[in-house]
Amino acid sequence: MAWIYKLTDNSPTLNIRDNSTNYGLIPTMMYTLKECMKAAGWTCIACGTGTGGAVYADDTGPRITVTVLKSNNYAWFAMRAPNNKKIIMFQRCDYMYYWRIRVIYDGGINADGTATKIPTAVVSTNSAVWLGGGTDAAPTGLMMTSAPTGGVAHVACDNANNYSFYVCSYVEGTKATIAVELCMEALTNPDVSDVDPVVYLHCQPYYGWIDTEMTANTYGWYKGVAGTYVFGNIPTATCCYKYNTTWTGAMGADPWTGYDQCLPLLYGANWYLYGGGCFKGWSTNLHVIGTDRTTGSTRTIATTMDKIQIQSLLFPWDGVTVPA
Amino acid sequence: MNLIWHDAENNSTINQYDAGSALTSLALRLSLLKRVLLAAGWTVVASSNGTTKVVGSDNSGTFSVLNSWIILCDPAGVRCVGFQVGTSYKDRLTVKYVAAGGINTTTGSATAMCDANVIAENCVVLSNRPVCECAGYIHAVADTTAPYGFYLINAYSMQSQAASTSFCIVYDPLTNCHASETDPYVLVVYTDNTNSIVELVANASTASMAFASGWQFRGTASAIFGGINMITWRCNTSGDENIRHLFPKGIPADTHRGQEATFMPVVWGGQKGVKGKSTMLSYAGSIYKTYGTTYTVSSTRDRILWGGIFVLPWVGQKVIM
Repeated sequence: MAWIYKLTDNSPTLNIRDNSTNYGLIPTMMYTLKECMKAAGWTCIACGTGTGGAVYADDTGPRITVTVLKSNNYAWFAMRAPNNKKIIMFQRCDYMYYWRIRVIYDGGINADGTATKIPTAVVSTNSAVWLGGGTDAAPTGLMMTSAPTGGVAHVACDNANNYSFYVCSYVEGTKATIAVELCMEALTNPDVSDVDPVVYLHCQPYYGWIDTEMTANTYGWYKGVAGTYVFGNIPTATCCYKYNTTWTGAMGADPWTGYDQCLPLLYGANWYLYGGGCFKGWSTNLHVIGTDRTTGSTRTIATTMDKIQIQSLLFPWDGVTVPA
Repeated sequence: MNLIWHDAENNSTINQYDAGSALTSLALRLSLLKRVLLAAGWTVVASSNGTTKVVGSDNSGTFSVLNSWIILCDPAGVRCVGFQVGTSYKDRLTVKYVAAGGINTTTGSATAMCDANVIAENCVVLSNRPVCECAGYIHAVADTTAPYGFYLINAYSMQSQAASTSFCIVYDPLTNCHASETDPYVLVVYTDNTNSIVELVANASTASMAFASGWQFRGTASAIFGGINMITWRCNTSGDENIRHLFPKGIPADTHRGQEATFMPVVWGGQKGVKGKSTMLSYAGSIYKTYGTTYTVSSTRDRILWGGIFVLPWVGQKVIM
């Protein structure tokens, strides 16, 4: 019942660095995400080691290493959530910083994967591409970050509550080149009938307010007017006062406690933008903070340093370790 | 919540038609609201018929005389609200709010409401403000149980969508406030007609004729009584209002439940933070329907639409428009 920040092998998840090669941080952080998800209860149920490699029904060893992800095009791994329903398949494409991700909320996968091709879903309508494009046979990836060298990344995964996770990176002390490479966010107060009460976020490269950027880059299943679920954009709504004035960076501290004020995000499919839609839920882990600060600052909201600030967003944090 | 409406003297507080007159409209509204509040357990602290001040009983009559006023105290004996018609015009409204400490009934006069015992608690929500005398139907209800919310709403008959919404007074108890909040209430007094009610009420203190007032950060050095904003949820920076927000206006249907509308409680706050969540006002997902449309959410006709966008608790009765 907690966020997992540290791995049993003591490899860092809080302050990940890899300047061994341009964009080397990306395969390192994706490897770390895989291991962090395992530590939170996920299981790697299949993988392919990419061009020139093989396909496996496990990740013993592990088979998917940082080296594999740095060097082998189309290497992939499939992670199954502790609820034995959700499966997320991560695949490196033709560069180490281009990735494609498919999510399946229920029904499992077939045993038809290859070294370079992810398996198909048993129930195809339960499956959607979260990141990237092309087809499973000819995948195209999306760039994961705009920072080729330097910077720090963080990875964390919740071992409960729909098993949220996030991967983010930035160059310390700046607000540019920020990326929320991946974030699966469990929702608060979703509809009880929601088949997949989470949203999926990828947000990079970033040059404006990150909460504005999130509007166009958050996805999930919503129930359309036809009564069937559609995977599509779930805009992130941030709070405004005076009808249309953004609150981000303007709230300041709580006069009662002196701590920063922050607010959750609201997710929903906008009828007018998308021809259908519904209320999806409130954010559980991400919050917009009322005071803009340098990215990477830790914040005390409920307990000591329980959040880390990525531009105007707060992510869960472990309470003790400060990015060095 | 146990909402009541009061039907007496052949002046029903449900479907009460207001012909629209600068001389009688405000008096009619205040009279109806007073009766509903008294029926719900509020008590008279002091009042005046414009010429004689009385302590402890109602001398405000039908508010048909200039300067008539009344101060009412909630059934818990804690919070007081006062109403007064104009000093020179019968369509002018003054509203006073006292959150704690009670009323000093030795102050005031036949033409001026009493002050609070604690002067810092003497909060004037609006003063001698012109009131729209638009013709239309009035609906007024009050909760007989704590925390004693009430409202009176009014709009043009057969009003379509948000156009020409007019007068309201909403006494709104809040939930989900900060643990240190000592006055979880907002008082909304809207006095004019408009076709952009959300923008005006949401803008609160910066709008010319829309007021949502309350305490913010009471008990701290930052404490202030003043304009409270409606918090909206913007997902797009487009200039098109229809696609700018998720709430209000962006999510018309609840596709999960197969219902025709999605509601979300209004969240109140100011530039410096959130005050709390409304128990009286919800946003409908989109502007549609006419004033007086009722909804069945938990029980038959337990919601009513006002202003094309706001949904309030309702008493199960049919409405005539």
